[in-house]
Amino acid sequence: MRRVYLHTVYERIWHWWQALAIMLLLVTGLEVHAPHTVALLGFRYAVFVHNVLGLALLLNAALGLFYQLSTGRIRSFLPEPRDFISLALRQVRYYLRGIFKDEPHPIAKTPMKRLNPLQRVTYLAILNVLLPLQIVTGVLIWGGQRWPSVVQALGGLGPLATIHTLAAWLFAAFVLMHVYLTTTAGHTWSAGVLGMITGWEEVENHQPKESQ
Amino acid sequence: MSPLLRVGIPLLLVLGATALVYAWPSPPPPPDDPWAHVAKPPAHLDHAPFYTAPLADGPAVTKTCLSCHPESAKEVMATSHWTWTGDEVHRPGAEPLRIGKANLFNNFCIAVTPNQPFCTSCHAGYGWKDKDFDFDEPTNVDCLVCHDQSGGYAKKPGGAGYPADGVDLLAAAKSVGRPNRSNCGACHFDGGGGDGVKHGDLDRTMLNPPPRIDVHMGKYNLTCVDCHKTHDHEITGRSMSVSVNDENRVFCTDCHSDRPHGEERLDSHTDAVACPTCHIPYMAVQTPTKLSWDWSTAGQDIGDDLHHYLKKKGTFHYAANVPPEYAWYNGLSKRHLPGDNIDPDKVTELNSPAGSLADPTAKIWPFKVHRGKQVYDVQNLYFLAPKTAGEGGYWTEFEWDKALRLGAEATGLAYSGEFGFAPTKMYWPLAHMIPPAAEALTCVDCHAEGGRMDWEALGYGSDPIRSGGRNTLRSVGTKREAGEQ
Amino acid sequence: MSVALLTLLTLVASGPEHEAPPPAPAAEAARSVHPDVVLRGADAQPVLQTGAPISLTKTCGECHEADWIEAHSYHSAFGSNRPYTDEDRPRPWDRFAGPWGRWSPLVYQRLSEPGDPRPDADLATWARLWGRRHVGGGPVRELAPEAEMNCLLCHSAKPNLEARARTIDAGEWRWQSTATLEGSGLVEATEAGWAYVPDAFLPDGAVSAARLGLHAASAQACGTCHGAAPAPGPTPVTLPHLDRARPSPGLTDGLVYSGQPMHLSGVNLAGKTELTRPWDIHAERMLSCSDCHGALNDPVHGSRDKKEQPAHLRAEVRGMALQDYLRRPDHDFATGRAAPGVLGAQHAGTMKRCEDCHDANQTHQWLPYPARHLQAMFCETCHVPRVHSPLIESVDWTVLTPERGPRTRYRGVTGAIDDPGTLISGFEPVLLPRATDGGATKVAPHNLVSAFYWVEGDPPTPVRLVDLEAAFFWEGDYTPGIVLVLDEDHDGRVGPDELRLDTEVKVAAVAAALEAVGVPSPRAVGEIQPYALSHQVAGHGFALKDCATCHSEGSRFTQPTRLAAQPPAGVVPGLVKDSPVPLAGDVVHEGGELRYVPTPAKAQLYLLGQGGNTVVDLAGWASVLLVLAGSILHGGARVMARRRPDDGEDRS
Repeated sequence: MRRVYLHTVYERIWHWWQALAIMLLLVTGLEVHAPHTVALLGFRYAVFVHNVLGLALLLNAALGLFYQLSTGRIRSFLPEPRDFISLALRQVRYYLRGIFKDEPHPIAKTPMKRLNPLQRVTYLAILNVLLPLQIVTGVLIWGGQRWPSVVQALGGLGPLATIHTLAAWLFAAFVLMHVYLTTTAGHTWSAGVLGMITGWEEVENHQPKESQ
Repeated sequence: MSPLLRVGIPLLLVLGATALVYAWPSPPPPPDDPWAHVAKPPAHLDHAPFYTAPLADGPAVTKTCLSCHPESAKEVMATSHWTWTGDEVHRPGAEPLRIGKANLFNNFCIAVTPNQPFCTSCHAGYGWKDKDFDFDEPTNVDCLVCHDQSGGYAKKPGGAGYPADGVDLLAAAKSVGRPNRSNCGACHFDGGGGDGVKHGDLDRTMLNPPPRIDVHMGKYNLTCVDCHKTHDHEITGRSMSVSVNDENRVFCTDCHSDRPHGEERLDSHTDAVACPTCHIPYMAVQTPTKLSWDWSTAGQDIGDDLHHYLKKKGTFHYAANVPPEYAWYNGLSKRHLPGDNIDPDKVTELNSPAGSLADPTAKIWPFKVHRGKQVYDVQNLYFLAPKTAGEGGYWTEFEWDKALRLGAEATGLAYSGEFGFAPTKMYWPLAHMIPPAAEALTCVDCHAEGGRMDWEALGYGSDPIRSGGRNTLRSVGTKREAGEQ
Repeated sequence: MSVALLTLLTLVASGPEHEAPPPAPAAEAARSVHPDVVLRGADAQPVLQTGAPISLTKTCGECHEADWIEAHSYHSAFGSNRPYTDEDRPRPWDRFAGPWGRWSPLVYQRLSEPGDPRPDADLATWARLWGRRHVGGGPVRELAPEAEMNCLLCHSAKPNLEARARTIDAGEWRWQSTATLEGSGLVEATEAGWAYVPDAFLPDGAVSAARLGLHAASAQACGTCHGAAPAPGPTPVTLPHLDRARPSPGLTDGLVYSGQPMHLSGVNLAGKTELTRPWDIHAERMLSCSDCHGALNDPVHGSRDKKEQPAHLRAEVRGMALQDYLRRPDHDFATGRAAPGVLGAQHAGTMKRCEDCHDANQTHQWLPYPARHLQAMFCETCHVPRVHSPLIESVDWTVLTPERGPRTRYRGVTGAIDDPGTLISGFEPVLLPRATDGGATKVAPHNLVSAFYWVEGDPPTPVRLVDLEAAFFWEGDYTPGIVLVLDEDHDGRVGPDELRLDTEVKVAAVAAALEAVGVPSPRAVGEIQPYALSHQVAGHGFALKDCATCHSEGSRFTQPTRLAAQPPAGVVPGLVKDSPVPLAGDVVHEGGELRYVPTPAKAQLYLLGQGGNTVVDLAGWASVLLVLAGSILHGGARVMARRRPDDGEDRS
């Protein structure tokens, strides 16, 4: 085993900021969506907090994008150009079999290759499809009173809110899955979480050819 | 972690939190927090341990009080509760005169001077039975009448202020505390000789009123001295019947904002309308108050009826739950003085509020107006003060001539021997018995046809809802209109 | 200048008697600037000399152009000058846009055209039915020259409406104006008929305007027919005008126009002590009906048709000269867009709307998303939160009560509306989308009145009242056949609760009874009329403010409203054809009731806080649960795998 510095300070701050915002957005969003199920802040304040958090999320996403682009670390999110499919299959095989046999993780983690192929596609979809969609629909719902014609042209609040709600459910599902899969990320249950807190993770010593 | 981040992150968090707190949507703060202005009374100190020996009489109680509160008698003796005089008024060609309850005439029982032992049973002292009363003797101050909390203290009717027979002075002394409603009410509720007779906004219902009669006392449990704040025994408040100036008054705005309604239209009324005008829709809500008193019919054996006719006093009119009358009032008032000449064919206003539409400090106030018909000297053309109670008084002998001679002796105002009765009028401003806000007058009460306000009498050309208020008058008084005419 | 003049035209009050003990409450000695009036008959001769009925056309017409006024008064024409075309008639038997020829299920009887083989009401009958609510003139002129527009109804201080109604009921239309003066001292009813009292006239034979109390029309005059608009004063407000025998518009649109706070009124309201708001904030703030519904050419209050104005002008200040206005005051008043077939619909949109006086943006900044709320809702949606007077819910003419009337149900009451002991709980309005003057759509509060009745023949006409009576009654009682069908508890009589056609069998039986008295092919039908609720306006303290009122599961926007408790079986009513608003939901039978179930999406609305789209939520729950289940299974499997014997190996 060796210790690897996987997550930079900014990446960690970005992650937890994002995590907190998304969790709170889900809770307040649920209150706005169905106030009879969750009544924490009261409808009026739930709407306000939801809007402020949405803005925080938007800012965080923009800052994060800038960081990833300017440092070039965005490459770690991009799927492997070559043998992506075989790597992905190895990862799937690991989840289905290897993990129960305590096999080592099939793909080595390095600072520039923090993510396994499945993570890469998932995060790519979340960050480039789901998150923008959620932010855009959210902004439009919020802006419904400022630019009514725009909202009207897009079909009114009904379709926008429906998309927003659906995306929120997907976020909720993702968060659950993400939290669980974190327990598979390291050599112990908690290694993944600790790695995102300290930045350092212990990873298996892989063969040079595997680690490229 | 880089130093930049070590500083930057907390800074960002603080900034974010500040922005959140700043932008947090909060309901607008209440425009008015009256409780902030209500003094918290000091904790009650049980005085029972200080009084052990029996107390012989009133002055003995006072003496004991003064042993710990040496300045108190001096403080009381500086107030009008003691002197029954107040403002100094200057008249052309005459000495300045200190006026007050002691020497003015009203149109109820008329005057104190000839009837001292009777009227002065409401004096905050012991023994004012004639002009020889010693106003400088500290032990003559009656502490108990204001501070007794046993409920057992009372003054003897017609007894010059001494305690009534059988009062347990020791129990009363042990009980002393901050004055409560019944201390003040003992004199002020019974002004004019009975419950609610004089004021129209002060009567015994205020001992324990329901909110619909008095929201301050009935709902918020305030006492008299919560509003009539007192320092060194000087109680704030002023009675227009016995004084003419406007110092030391109690205002609604002592506790409430002068823009309290949360609505521009209503708030704009406060420039010209006093709070009680809308907030006392009816006076004497439960207990009838006396609205007129005709002395000229007294002395007949036609059957007494407390609220309509008494042989001693003449003819009355009482009413309860009646709308007040309205007039401009800037806090000052005009006062008819003893000896001032009258026109017996006209109504003499013994007191009247000063102010008018043109006076920016004046507001429309609600008044109880008491109309009287009282005895005057036909030759000298001024009002007279008869001796009513006691030996030789009108109430015992029913002889006007004799009562007036005795009265003249006491007041020093000459009596020619020929008397008659002339109409008078007194204004009693209303400020107590404020019901909950929902009971206040609404627009239609004054502004609809047949509403309460006599706009022409108040100086408006027509209803100001159409012609504008005094700052925006469109129909009267402006230069432009005058130029056009 | 004109404001002051107009103020002068209204009454000027004299002050209270200050010197008289006791003080009298402000005594009214009405003073009018109107000149003295010579009362004239149809022959223009003074009636004091001839004894003829008063003709106001001749009397008032001396100065005001009575014919012109009558020609410009939809209250007089009652729609008789606005025939429907075949396309726009709401019901096949409707002829004119107004009570003259537009059938009303609340009144039921129909004015028959000449030559109708099965005539219902002739002109005299119609005039008796509507006479109390008709100012005269227009179509009833046919009955007598003095059946003219009765100026006194709205412009005199104390018109005697009952005396006028009695003469109309007696068919004596020519005396209607004279009768209106009963009680003024000018006329008296004698054995021989109406007589004038010379002593009450001025020496020159004229009558002083003060005695007539002539004035600009007040809210009380409008209230006579339109609801309750009692004169301001300490007298507790009651609702006697909401007479169920002759349903007034106040029973459909909740017009109670008084500035008196509800909790001081004489109405038995639920939660009364908390209702410290006035019946209508505008009445409290001293607005009169004409301030919003002014004469179209009134130089001060006029609400000109904005269509005539260049778009860039906000107001037209060049009003009519006062003298011209007084000669020809337009008696077509500005109207809104409220009730179906409302009189004056040709002037719809001329009245002052809330936004003509109020700048809502200034006062609603506390509201989250203020612009969105103001885009989606008319002011009334929040400012008429509840109607605190009885409203008609349904009128069922498929059965007749022993009083020969329909079975009528009211909203917001628990008992008979003419019983002062009835508790009035109030009605939470139905929110329906309505077009704005600018062409957008917003929701506004409404009352839905459903009506059920029999029609006959083809093209259909409502079954005549005489035929209904013949089918239901025999010598004062229900016919044995009707009793047999309706008497469910077999006590030999038809109780109030049994008076309903809730089964197909009963419907068929009554249809058969109608056929037996000669009604061709009778069938029961229904319709729903929406009435906009724009009065009983609450100020800011009582307007809706709580987000949860709309943004919650129990939202006003989704609550079903009962349309009828026991509708005739098999009848599903639809909106009347000329309804100014569509329904935004479904009319359904549920639990024996007929209900309207609104769907915000149908009003182009999406309300946050209602749970939104259930399909999406189901899918969302499913995906979350799926992930959860997967995680538990996978994690469980990992735990199991670890517990195997070889678990102890060093895995590092």
